[in-house]
Amino acid sequence: MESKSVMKAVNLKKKFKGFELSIPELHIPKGYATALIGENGAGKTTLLNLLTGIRLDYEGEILYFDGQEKLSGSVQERIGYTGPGSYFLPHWTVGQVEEISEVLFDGFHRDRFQAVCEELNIPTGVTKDVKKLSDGNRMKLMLAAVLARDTDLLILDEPASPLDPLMRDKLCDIIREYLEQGNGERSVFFSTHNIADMENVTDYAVIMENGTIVEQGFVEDLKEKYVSVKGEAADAERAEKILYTMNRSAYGFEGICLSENMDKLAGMDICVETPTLFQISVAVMKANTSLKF
Amino acid sequence: MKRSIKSYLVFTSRAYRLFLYLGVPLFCIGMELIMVILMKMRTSGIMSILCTLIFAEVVSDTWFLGGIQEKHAEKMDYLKTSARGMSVVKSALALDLMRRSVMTTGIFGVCCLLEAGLARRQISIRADLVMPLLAVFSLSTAAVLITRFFSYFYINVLAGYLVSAAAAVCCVLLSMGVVSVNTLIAIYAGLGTAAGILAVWVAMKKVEGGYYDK
Amino acid sequence: MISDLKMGFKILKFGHGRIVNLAGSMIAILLGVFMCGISVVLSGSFPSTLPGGYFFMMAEVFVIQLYYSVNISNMVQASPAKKRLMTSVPTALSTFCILMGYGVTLLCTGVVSCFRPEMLKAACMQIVFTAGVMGVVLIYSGVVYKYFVVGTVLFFAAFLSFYAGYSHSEAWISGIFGSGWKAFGLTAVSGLALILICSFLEYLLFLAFYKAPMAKMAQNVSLRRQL
Repeated sequence: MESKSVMKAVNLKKKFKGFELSIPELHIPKGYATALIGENGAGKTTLLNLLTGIRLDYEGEILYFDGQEKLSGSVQERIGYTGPGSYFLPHWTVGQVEEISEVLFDGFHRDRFQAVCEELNIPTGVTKDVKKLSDGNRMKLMLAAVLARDTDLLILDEPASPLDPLMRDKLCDIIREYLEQGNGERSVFFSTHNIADMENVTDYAVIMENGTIVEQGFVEDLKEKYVSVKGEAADAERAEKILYTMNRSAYGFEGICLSENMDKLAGMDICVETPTLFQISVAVMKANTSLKF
Repeated sequence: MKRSIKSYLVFTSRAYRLFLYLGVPLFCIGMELIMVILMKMRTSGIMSILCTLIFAEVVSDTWFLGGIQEKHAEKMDYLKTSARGMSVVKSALALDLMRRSVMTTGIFGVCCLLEAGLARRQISIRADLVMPLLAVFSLSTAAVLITRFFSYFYINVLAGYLVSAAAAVCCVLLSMGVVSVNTLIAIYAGLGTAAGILAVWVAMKKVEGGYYDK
Repeated sequence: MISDLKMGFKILKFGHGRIVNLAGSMIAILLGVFMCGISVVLSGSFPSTLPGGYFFMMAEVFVIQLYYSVNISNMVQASPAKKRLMTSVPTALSTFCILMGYGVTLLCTGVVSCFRPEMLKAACMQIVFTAGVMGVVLIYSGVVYKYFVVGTVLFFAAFLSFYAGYSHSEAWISGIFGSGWKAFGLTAVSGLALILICSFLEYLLFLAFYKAPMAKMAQNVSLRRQL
């Protein structure tokens, strides 16, 4: 599936002590919701910080909106970012968040902000400090701040992590509505650990490990590339050599296999299913991780 | 004692230790050598060392326990999960006071030896060692008692300047004969005792207050 | 420049530790006004008395500390205003604060010299020292929020050099600027020129370092945890 890109990165490199982010090519399609998946310390937040301009000390090139523009004031105006840690200063009140958003962004609408705060049930007493909000309410406040702006791209760093299951469902609705209103011109790029919850809104997935991208593609294409295989314990040893990743038990085995290798499993008593994005992600991460199993 | 020292060191970073245990003593002794050898000062350089030490102690506290008495300070949740957590904090606070006395004695001791040996000045133990030691201890402890409510580097710089200026004024008054060495020793001893007790008590009250919401 | 200054004052409202930093600034200003007058008189007997300009410089440091705390926020870092908020706006704000302090120094020393004309030389010394230290702090502000340790060490080294030179500056100030009110005028104008040059250097430093990450040690404890 070919598509225009809302963000394109080439030869992206950033070095830390003991870690290096190295991405030869990254393509985020326009008009879709893309999930960035990876284990802890894979470099997801680092990548998002580079893409949003929070960190400018890196090598490589990042182009935005059909590969036409480099990061500039007008590009940042069209990008809405939410992230963990030092997003709001702890002493800011909800009222001050509204005020400073108006100072920082031209396309910020107060009435829309207040409407979203009411919709998301955010406590908005003018004297309510951000530090007194729970993590979930702080996340909702960040979402309210970006949704109150005229943007074409949302970059969300772990938006689902602090949210309760009900609010995660609401987040998926928000993302869907945002994309539908854009008529193919709007895109969302979010990092997540809650793959199962966010799968129903994910169109494109990027999987990261050890600072590099190990797999990327449209979810439908990935579900054709990989298959979920279940089989008997007797065939486990033979299947282990063919499967991408495998879990064994006394009763049998279960794993992910590349579709192109399916013929090698001929003669085994197996059950084939379409894998979920969660299963594909775990399999890909397992195959590339330095975690010991 | 070993556990107390470990409790203290846990709160100090490598940069802090390098600055305070190595940088400050070397700077003070270097300054003393310059005053005695290069500038050939026959009068005491102890006042300059005193003001420098007070300033360094107050400023470096930002990186030690700066902000521990702040309204919404770090509640030290990890320490609170241990039965020994609060005693670790108390040991750190108490040992910091001890460290200050020992370090100051050492620095002034070396300076006195340099003045006696190189500048051939007659050293008075009361005026050149005891009084400056008590001045550094009492004034810097009193200053950090206040600055630990804020945790801003420049607040510590301003406070450090003000207390070292106060110490300088006391030294000037001493040289003019307005106050005697014994009077200053008594004042500093009293201030130092009160400040030392309060420094530990107030900080512990604030940290233990972290167990409660109100 | 004016719009940057207006933006700077707007952003100050959102800074961390408004009360503490503004109180610190006020204390420094009051000490500065007091010392400005006193040290001209005292400099005859106590030549190493720190002049008032030192305290006005501290007042600027508190204001910039309050301002710069806002740049910790990732929301600000991801905004289109990021470059402006880290370069031209802090330059405008710090230059304004420094020029105000310099103006007060000139006023105080001028007034004291009107009543005690024999103190004009001491007043000129103060002005030179004040302008020098204010210039140094402008350059320091351009470095410290990115490279705290290097900036602070170099600042103290420069400050101590100025302080050492200040006590012995009477002869060369007379030599360069002459004496009397003419010398006062010349030192005032030279000091202003020095401050403006250092302000420009500060802007260049902000531009050079704005891509570097914020220095943890320059922030207070609760903000340090955010970085």
